[in-house]
This record gives sequence, structure tokens and C-alpha cells, in this order.
Amino acid sequence: MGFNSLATFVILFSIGMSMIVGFLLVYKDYFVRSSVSLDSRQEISRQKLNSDIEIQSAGLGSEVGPYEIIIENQSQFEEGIFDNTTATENSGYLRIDQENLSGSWYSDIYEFNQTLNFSKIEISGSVTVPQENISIKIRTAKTIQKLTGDFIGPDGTTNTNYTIGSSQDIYQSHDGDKVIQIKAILERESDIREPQIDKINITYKITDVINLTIKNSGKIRLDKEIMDYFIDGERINRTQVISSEVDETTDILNPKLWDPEENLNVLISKNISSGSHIMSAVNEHSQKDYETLTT
Amino acid sequence: MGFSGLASQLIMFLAVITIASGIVIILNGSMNDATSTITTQTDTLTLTMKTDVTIDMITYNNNENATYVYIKNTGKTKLKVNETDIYMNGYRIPRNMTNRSIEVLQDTDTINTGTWDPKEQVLVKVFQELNSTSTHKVTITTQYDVQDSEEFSI
Repeated sequence: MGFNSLATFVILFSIGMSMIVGFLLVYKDYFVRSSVSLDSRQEISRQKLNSDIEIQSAGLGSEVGPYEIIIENQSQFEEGIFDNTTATENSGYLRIDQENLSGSWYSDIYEFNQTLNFSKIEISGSVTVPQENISIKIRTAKTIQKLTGDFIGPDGTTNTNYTIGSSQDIYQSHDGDKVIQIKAILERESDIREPQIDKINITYKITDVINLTIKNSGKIRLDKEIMDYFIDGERINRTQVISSEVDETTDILNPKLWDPEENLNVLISKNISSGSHIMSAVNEHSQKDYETLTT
Repeated sequence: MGFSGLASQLIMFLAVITIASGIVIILNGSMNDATSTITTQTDTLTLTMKTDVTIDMITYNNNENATYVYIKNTGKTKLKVNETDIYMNGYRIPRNMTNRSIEVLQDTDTINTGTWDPKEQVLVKVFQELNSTSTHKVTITTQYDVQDSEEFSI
């Protein structure tokens, strides 16, 4: 090979090599990140394809509970409104301000996402009749905006009161409401007397319960907290889900995790009219199933 | 092969390396610009490939003449609701129109309030009267051009 041919070869080879090196330097990052992105895309697709649910049953459930509203310490009393009353620091009881002979207290407004049946009220404290008097009334409503009615006692009128002592039945007309507020009035003949309320305890149950059983019929574990439900196309707020637990009888792998072939028992608080409805459940990968719910 | 043959091959090899290195050094600046451009495009590609949205449910409210569309972020990127476009039967609903609204549903908005994070659900409302005799199609397109569509009837 003559010198000129060799020189030409060297030059062309050098240019070729530098182009290859330059190409690799420029596109190295692209290839690596594209590969990672492709993996992510494949994972998204794989999860969707391998994910599936089947609603096994849908029906009305019975009341769930009991649950309690408990007011017993200073901070809980302070969530309400004092009118010539105060809550003491150490033991947290409600009493009349020192210079007054009467006072009242309105509790915080307790609002729930579910429809409730209020069962019992129990008030702990001390009062010496007739020198002292404590009277408690309740009012409820469907919404905070509608909480404008009178506070009423155990007979449904403003003439009676719930009193300190053993547990008393709450008047039935409060059932079906979602918002509750308590009013307490404390009275005494002289400022050496000290009527006090130590604790107020209200028990209630959640009504209008829909019971669902959903099977993880796919091939991957699902997150039971990221499920969405619809009735007749209307979305149910996730806060209306009372409970969502893996059925013990199917919970074979990984306790409490919703693995494939395992069932999820769901309780939802939702008032629905009688008749047929379409219940839909959607999982975190947007796979869904439908079932007719007849009441 | 004699010493002279070996020497000439060695010289050629060194010449190749030297020339190639010289070209790379000379073109370094251009390569940096190219790398930067490629990186930007790769970023965009990465976000697009990691993005996925799925329409969970469509409901038409006759009282409001409004279509409610529930969409889940089934991908791995954070999305902005104010950069999401909505099409009803092929017609785009402008972002500043009062007859559309889009918000991340509060009970799903557990990370970065207001941002449409993975696994979170948004509600799109389109206030537009629809014909009950035909099927309709809604399309949702994210800021990374990833979309989902679904047909429905009322």
C-alpha cells in the first residue's frame, strides 16, 4: 500500500472513529433514560393488564357501631362556647364562672359524613338539688346550615332535660341526622355552690350501610385504600367508607393485604332510595366492575 | 515484519488516535449543545412515557345539563389540572371558559394539595346541554399530550 493510500485510510478511519465517539457521548444519556422510561411505561401497562376486580355481592347492611362522642377534658370543653362558664385545667370539668350564679355552654358542632342513629347520652358530674341545677339538651340536623332548631330534651320538647346520672335514651327524632350539638345550663343559689359536669358521652350507630364484597381477580396486590365507588354514576366520597378490610376467610397470603384471589369486605354509609341501583367499584389502576344493588 | 514495518504501523496508530482526539476536542462545544438538546428532549419523552390517565366514570346530570367526568392519574408523574384540556365530541372546551371546571377531589388529594398526583382523582365538569338521542365522546389530554377518551350516552 503506497503512502498516499495509507494516509487517506488513516484520515478516514480517524474521522469515522471520532463520529462514533461523538455520537455515543451525545446520545448516551438518551439511550439510558429512554430505557428507564420504557420500563416505567411497561410497568404501567403491565399493572393495568394484570389488575382486575369482581364485585361478588352488593346489598344493604345493618347498623354499624356503637361509636361514641366523648367530652371529658379541658381542651374538649374549650372547643365549645362558654357563656359565664369555664373548664378547669386539671380535671377538666365544666363549671360556672366564679362571680356568676348561672352559665351555659354550647359544645362544638359534631358533623359526620354518615347518617346516624343516636342511642344514649350519659352525663357525669355533681349537683346538689335544689341548690344547684344542671340541664342538658341536644339539637341535630342533616347539615350544619340546617342546625337552627331548638335544643330539646328526652321527650322531644324544650321542657325537659337530660340529667346527670345513668345512661338515658336520646329522643328518637334525632335519628337520621348527621350533625349534633349539645347545650348545658348550670345554675346555683350562691357562689359557694359548684355544680359541675365532668364528662358527656353520646353513643351512636351509623345507618344506611351498603355492604360490598369485592374479589381481587387480577394477578397483582391492590391497595384497598385507593378504591373508588359510585352508585348510579354518583361518586361516593372516600370518607363515607366506614371500613374496608380483607375477608379473614380468604386472607391467606400477607395478612391484611389485598392479594390476588382474596376478598375485600367494604361497608359504605350512603342513603339510597328503594329500587334497583348500579354499584360500581374502581381500583387504583382504574379497572372496574359493576353490580346491581336492589333495595 | 521488520523493525521499520512495526514502526510505521505504530506511527499510523498514534496518528489515528491523535487525529480522532483532535476532532473530538475541536467539536466538544458543538457536542455539548447537542447533548443539552437531546437531554431536554429525553426529559420530555420520559415524562410522556411515565404519564397515564384513565377515565373512571362519566355521568350526565340532567338538572344541571352538566357532564361529570372522574379521571384517575394512573401514571407516575404529577400533573397540573390547569394545563389539562377537555374535548367534548371533538370540540375543545377553552380553559378560560366558565362552562368547564376541573379540580382534584379533596378526599383523594393526600399529597401536594392541588396537584394531580399519581393515584389521585379529578372531577371535570362540562356545562353543556347534550343530545340524548346520540352517543357522545369526551377526551381528556394532559400537559404531556397523554390522553384518554370514552364514549357515553345519556
